[in-house]
Formats: sequence, C-alpha cells, structure tokens
Amino acid sequence: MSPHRFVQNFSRRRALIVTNDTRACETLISTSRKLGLDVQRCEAAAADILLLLQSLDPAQDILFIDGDLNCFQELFASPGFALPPAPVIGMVGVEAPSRLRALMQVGATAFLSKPVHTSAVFSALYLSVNEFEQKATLRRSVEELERRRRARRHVIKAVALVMKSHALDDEGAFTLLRKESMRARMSLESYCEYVAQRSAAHHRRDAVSEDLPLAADRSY
Amino acid sequence: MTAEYAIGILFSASGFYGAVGRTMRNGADLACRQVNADPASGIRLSPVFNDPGSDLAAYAPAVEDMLAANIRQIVGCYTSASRKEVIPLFEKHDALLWYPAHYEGFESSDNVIYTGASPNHHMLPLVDYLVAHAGRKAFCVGSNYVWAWESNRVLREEIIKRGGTVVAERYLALGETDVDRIIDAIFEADPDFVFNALIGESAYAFFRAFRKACIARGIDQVERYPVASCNLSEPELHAIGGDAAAGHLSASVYFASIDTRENRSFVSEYNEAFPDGPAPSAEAEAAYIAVKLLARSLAAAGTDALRAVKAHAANQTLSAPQGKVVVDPATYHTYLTPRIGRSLANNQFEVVYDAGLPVRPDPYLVNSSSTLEAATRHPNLRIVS
Repeated sequence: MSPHRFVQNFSRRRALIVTNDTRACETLISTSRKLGLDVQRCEAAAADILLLLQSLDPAQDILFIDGDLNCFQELFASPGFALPPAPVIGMVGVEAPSRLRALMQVGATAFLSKPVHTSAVFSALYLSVNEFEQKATLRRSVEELERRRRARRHVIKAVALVMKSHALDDEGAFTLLRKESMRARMSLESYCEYVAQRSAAHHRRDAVSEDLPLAADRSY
Repeated sequence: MTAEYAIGILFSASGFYGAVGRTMRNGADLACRQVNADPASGIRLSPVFNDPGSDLAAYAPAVEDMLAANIRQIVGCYTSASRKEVIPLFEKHDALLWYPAHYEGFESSDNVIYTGASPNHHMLPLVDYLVAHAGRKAFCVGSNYVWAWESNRVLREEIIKRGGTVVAERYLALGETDVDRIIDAIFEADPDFVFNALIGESAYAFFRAFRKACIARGIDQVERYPVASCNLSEPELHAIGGDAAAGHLSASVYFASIDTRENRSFVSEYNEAFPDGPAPSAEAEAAYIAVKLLARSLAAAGTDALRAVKAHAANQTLSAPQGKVVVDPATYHTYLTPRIGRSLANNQFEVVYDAGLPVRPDPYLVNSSSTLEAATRHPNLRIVS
C-alpha cells in the first residue's frame, strides 16, 4: 500500500462560494484566484444549493458555504439531500452550536471565520481537501472491511473443504488457501468464495471433485 | 509645493544578522537620497530609521512607535519570523509594509508588497543547475525556523521530482555556531552537494568550518561537496572572510557584478555613499527597489493612505539595477530576473546562469509545484511470504 500523500496545490480546482456576505465573498474570490483556483459565486437558496450539491465534481470542486444562511433546515428536509461528494469549507459568522452543526451536516471539514482573513484561506483549503481525502480513504477502507466481513463465512467453508480434501489441519488449510489466493491475484475472501461456490456446484452435479481448489482459473 | 512623506525604515543593523540588515538599510537610504535629489520625483521622503537589533521581540514595538508617529508606509524586515510578527499591526492600522527580502513564499497579505524574490525565482533554477552540474544527492542544513523548513521542503520536492534524494536534513538554532556535528554527518552521508539555508553567524561559521574540515581531509570542497544557498550575498562573503568565501553557489535575482549601466551606477553611488560597507547585495537592491517603487506610488497617489498607494503600486515598473522589475497586480510580489552566481576570492559573484528576462512571481508555487506532495523514498512494501 502506498503511503498517503497530501494535496498541497489547489490550482486548476474550482471554488464555489455560497454566501450573502459580500465582503467575505470578495476576499474569498481574490484570495482563491491568487491560489490558482477558478471561482464561481452561486445562488444561496435551498433549491439552488441542493442542485449544486448534486452536481459537484469531487476531483475538482471545493465548496465554501456560509453558516449564516437561513436555508439549512429546508435543505436537509429536501428529498435527495445527501452529503456532497466534494470538500466543503464552512464559513462561520455566528458561532452558535446550531449553525456549526448545520455546517458539519452539510459536510464541512474545515471552518473559516468571518470576516474572512486572507491568510486563513490556504490553511482552510489545505485542511478541508486533505481531511476530505482522508475521510474518503477511510470510508473506502471500511466498505472493503465490511465486504470482507460478510465474506468470512466463505473462508470458514473453504478451510473446512480443504481440510477434508487435502487431509490438513485448519492452519495448513488456511496457509494453502492464502498462498493460492495470492497466486490467483485475488483477496483471500474472494478466492474462498470461489472455492466454496465451485465445490457447491460440483455437489449439485453429484460429482465430488478431488482436485479441489488449487488450480484456480486465473482469469476469474 | 513638493509633498513630503515620512516613511519607516526598519532593519536590524546590529545583532546576528546585522550585516545583511545594514546593507538593506543602506539600499533604502540611497534610494531616499536619490528620490529627494531628483526634482522629477515630485515628492520628498523623510526616512525614520529603527534598528530592532536582530531581536524578534523588538520588531512589534518598533512598528507601533512608527504607526504612533502617523507613518503609514514602512520598508523593512529581513527574516520571515519578523515579518509575520508585525503583519497584524499593519492590518490593524491600515498601513503598508514593503518587504524587500527573498522568502519562502506561501503568503499574500493585503498589507504587504513583496519586492524580494519568490521561491520560483531562486529555488527552481538552482535545483535545475545542481542536478545538471553537481548531482542528485542533497544534504540540507538550515537555521531552525520557517525559512529553512520551507526552503528544504521545496528543495526536497523538486529534487525528488528530478529523480534525486535528500540524504539528511539538519537544523541549528538561530545564531548557533557549533557546526562540527553537522559537518561530520555530511562526510558520513557523502552527498553530491550541500543545500544551505543557515542564516547569519550560523552560516558564516558553517562555511569556515566546512572548508577547514575538507582541507584537513584533503578534499577539494568546491568540487566534491559544493554548497548552494538561496540566501548568500556579497556582504556575507566578507563576513565569512578569507579563502572560505570562494566557490559557493548562490541563487539570487541580483549580484553586484551584473554588468549593466543601471547597476554600475547603483554600485558606484552605493559605495560612494557607504564607504564603510557592507558591500551592495541582493538585499540592498531589493530595499532600494522597494523605496523607489514606494516613491513612485506615493507620487502617483498623492497620499500615503493604504488603498491609494497600493492601487498605484500595481503594475509599477522600474529599470532597476538587476533589470526591469514590475509589481504583479495579482499577488503584489515583483517580476524579477533569476540568476545563479559562484562566489569568487574578491567577495563578488560571477554569474553562471541568467534567466535573461523578468519572471512572474509565483509565491504559492501554483504554477510550479505538483498537486500532491513528494512521495517518500521508500514505499511501505514488505514481503509477507
């Protein structure tokens, strides 16, 4: 597994700004341009924000959204609302817990206090983009682990099959399956699933195979 | 009647980086004298000098004193630490700092105009030159603060991009001169070159001790372990002294040896005005440029108020000793001409590379660096069976 590399240059990305605060918007526009981003100011009504969230491009877009907007309850209640698939920076004016919560609910991974200070923008971008990437990596990793957990029953079945067919103890059967899964360039769980399914198919044809799993189809 | 403006000149003319501070103060002073002597300039400058003595804690009170005296335009600071210390005061009081030093970038305050080199002006050409002429194995030394940390980070990224490595990084406290352990580590790591981001007395002690240690081992330091810096200028060669000052590489936008009419005139007027030195340097020229650009902006604005001066500073152009310089309206950094010099026995530099034209400043390296930080040298791979 390659080590995590942080994003440090935000040029050629797009900053989408949702705020009614003209001063904050002006500062953000000028600073973002210095950092090489394209900037676009977006409408601040709930319906427009919903459409915007749904159209975000995770590889390119960064959303700046103002916590002082009064449309969050309407937004969260809208059918089709989901966490945006791109980094979000929450702009904080009133530091009330309800507003901070709304920004977290809309996916903010960094905060930027208002009035916006130019020297805070790069830090907020760095934090939001890298935190978003780390969360995405973590989410993918959890999904993969969940998939493997669900496949655990196949491992148990395959170990039992190989113990029987090759007269091995559980350690020996597991070692053999792990070695074969690596040779087949598959995860252990996927390989065991294949072994278990193949064995079941053989049983269905009443033909018990003796040469069990070890010549796996590499193209599988 | 010619308008007269008080401007602050804030450089550490004493203390451990006093040599550089004095050359900057002299550059600014010379520019003030020239502006005042030139009827076409349309204004008179009355400089108010302050010497914080290389003491970080003395910068903010010095700026507060100037602001209290209703000075709104200040040319000053050498270290990034001192600049970061005073910027909040400029922001609070709607004043403008003209910062005339090369620095590590990643800043763009609305209250600062940066007339020194940006990282793309010195680091990128230097890395290209080193890879072509010295090799790809770097050993980084630096003073333990943001200039060296960021310079070494950029060097590491650039050298890795070109297939090289950084074999070690070593830092010394500001002003520390005990460099023997670093020198032992260099011999042990056996790099192709040393990248130096030490400043002041630490740097001078390092250059002297490293040359001496190489001679004691029978090594030709210039050939075997060339030392490259982005902050080595003529007054510092004087401070290193003796034979140890020659043969070092320096990336800069200005060397006193540049052979142009503007520079010959600048050097001769500087030497005439300050016969006791320090010698003219890139920092002196940057401070000189800052005051000249400030004078033109003040004359055009007709006031020393922040917004008006800044508006007229944008796109301000000057035929400087180094060549044409322009204030970039997008970043308020300056277009400057990158060069690389090699130090000579007469404490001057011979120019070994010249970009030939002013290069746009890129303080955040948005056009020069990769999106992702450099990969580490060793991937986390291991054989499991």
